[in-house]
Amino acid sequence: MLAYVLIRLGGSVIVVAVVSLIVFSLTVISGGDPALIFAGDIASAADVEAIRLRMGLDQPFFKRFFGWAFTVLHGNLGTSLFTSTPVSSLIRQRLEPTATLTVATIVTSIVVAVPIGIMAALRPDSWLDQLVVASCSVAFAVPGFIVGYVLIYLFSLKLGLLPVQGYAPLSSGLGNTLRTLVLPTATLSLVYVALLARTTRAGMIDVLAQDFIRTARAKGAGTVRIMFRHALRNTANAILTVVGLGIASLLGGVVIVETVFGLPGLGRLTVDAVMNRDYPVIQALILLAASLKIVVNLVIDLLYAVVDRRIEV
Amino acid sequence: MNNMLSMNRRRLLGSLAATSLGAAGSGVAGLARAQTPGTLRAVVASDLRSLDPVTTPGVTIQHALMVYDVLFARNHALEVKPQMVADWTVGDTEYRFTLRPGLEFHDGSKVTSADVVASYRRWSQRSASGQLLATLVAEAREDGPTSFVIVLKRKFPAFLEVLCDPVTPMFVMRQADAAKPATEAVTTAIGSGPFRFVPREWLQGSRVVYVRNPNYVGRTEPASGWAGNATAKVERVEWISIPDPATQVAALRTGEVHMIENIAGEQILEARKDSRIELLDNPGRGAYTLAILNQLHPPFDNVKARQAMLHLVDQDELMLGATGSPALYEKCHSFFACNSPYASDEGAAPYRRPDPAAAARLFAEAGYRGEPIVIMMAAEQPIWLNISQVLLAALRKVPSLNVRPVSMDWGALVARRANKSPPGSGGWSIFVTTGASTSLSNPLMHFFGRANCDNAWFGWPCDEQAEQMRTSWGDLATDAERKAAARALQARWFQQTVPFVPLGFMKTTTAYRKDMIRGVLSTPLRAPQWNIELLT
Repeated sequence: MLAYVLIRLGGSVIVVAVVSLIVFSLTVISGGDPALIFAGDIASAADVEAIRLRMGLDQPFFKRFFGWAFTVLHGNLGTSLFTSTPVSSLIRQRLEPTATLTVATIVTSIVVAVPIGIMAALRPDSWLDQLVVASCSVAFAVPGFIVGYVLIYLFSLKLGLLPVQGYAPLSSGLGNTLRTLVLPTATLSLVYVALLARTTRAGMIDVLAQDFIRTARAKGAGTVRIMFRHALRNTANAILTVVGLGIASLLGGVVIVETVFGLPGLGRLTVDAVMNRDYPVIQALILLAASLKIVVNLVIDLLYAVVDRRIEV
Repeated sequence: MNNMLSMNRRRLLGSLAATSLGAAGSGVAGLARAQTPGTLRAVVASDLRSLDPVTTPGVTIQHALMVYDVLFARNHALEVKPQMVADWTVGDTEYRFTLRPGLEFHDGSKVTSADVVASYRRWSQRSASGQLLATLVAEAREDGPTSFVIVLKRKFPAFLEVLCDPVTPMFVMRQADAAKPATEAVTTAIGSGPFRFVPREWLQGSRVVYVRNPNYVGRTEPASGWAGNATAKVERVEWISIPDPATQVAALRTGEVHMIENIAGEQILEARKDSRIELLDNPGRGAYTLAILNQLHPPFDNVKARQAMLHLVDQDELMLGATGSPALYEKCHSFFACNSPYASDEGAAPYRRPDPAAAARLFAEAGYRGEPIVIMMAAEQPIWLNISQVLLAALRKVPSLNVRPVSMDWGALVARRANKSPPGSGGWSIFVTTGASTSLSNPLMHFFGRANCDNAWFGWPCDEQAEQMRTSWGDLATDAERKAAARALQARWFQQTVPFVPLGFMKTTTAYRKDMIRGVLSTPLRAPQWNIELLT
């Protein structure tokens, strides 16, 4: 297994390098000049040129890219062109809200969706099953920001139970953090709950119709044992796949939720950096996202083998 | 088996419900309100990204108003009033100033004339007003610990008007900070203003924190605009970043924030439903909307094509597209901000009503031959995008025009607008932008009215006569003379220069909880939080 992990991680270095080069190229091709944006409306051409020189934007494309890559390899993500703050500090400031929101969303989605999917699968075409299927369709269709506004209206404005916006860091106490995360998590989870519930339901219905389930019943196995020991275990890989995809795509999904709920996370940092053409920040965030995706994929692949012994790594 | 399944389901539902209730039950009403007593929480117009108001104006000006002090400041009526200056004398070409006693920086050092002179020199390198003064000032020097002298090359009656520029004010920094090159940002924020910046609590994109400066010496005159007594009346101010306008208003309603500096137009009706929310119009703080024309290339290198654009504009349509309500805008056909002293209707009469037929005729007279008219539209800026789309529809009322809308983000637009190539070769013809009223309040500080060719703003209008009229305006001594000269300049702009196309004026409103705070001031441009008191 160790060799497998090392080979995968080795391959990921090439992937990250290629992704970084592509993204760096895209930011340049898309137009935009951070010196002009930074200088503002009142700057003279000479001022803009001085700022451009200070930012190192006068350097050729590949020199800039490899210069950046060289500093990254030495453990330095660079400095924001706009705030003159180390990029690592910016990411560190913004990482916690996004990380806690992502974890809360994944945990909530699994805890809510898997039981719902199981219950729906136990009685296919029953009223409960149809309710679950219909609800999942609605959850897929409703945009996240509308869900967010509705939740704010109900739980903040009408009931006064939860804050509208903001994030309380973990250092302020877990309870405070969770309170600020309830509405964003509910908003972001909705679509993942729907996705996981449908995946679980479909997988369970498929597995429950298999011969080995009938054999287990014939041998006197109880429903709970059948559901959790046999059926769910055989559906687990499909669920793991969806969870893995969910973690990777959450980084994109958090942008809207962070905006609606005023969370200072990586999603908003990414949007701001792209709008400002803050290249060092964009590059570092892409590096982070690509690395995360690779690690998540690797972990999911390893978990396949854990839940299904027939799979070897 | 069914019974067992039912029990499992009930147990499961029960545990799910318990989880949900546990999450919700841990909250109580008002839990998100300030935990620190004496804290004022405000949503400001945009995120603070830089601490240096010289290298990076914009929202940094607002930050600087909290932290730094200025020599002179504009009051509610945009009049120039002394702030750090105790008294001054005016000779023919010599201005002699004395600072108020007791002024000190947040690090405990005294404010001296050396700090002022260094700050003036740095400011004069970057701001438009400073650069103008740099051409007029022969010498700026210390004249004792708290006195300094500015000597002009010639008599210039508008000197204080320009020195007290509300768009890019001259903040007084420590000499060591002001010694930095004007293109290199100062990364500390140690001023002598009413609030101290708390760098360790600054979370970019989320929160900026200030605490009261107990050593601030306020003026005795009452606070008015940016002038008068700027003493902090709360212990702590937090600027909270909430990008979504609907969430801003929801947070105001729950009391999580006390005020929204600039409430979005579409949220004003929502805010009006809550009797606890007060809406304060800021006449000096609106956004004057304009279309910039590229005068280097056809068709807008010809004055008739530029005048044709004036004929195409329907300000009601454009402003409704931007704001959604007639209550949120004013039509303004002057090249000067309509709430400023020098606004007039001189030369505007032919353009008060849209006339596409006249526009088509003028485009033909300009020799238009189907050259591409590239209109750049910033896709992620909803107000500018809406206005651009209405303007696009107006352009299409002239069938002969070859209009090419190009959608991009603001960052790309900022880069492309600097491109002087022809519109069909990577350049551009039109883009929409906004300017603060104070940027268009008089000829000298008229940011968009400059017609000095390559040195003008984007669009690069080139009209030597208009430029001479604009720059000599500061030489006039009386208000009557200045008003007459402003009218003459506007007539010239309509007849020849057309430096931009006026599209209307969008109002700016501050929303605050009147049951929680009092003392909110109507201010020019940005709104610092001095003079505000907490009621709860």
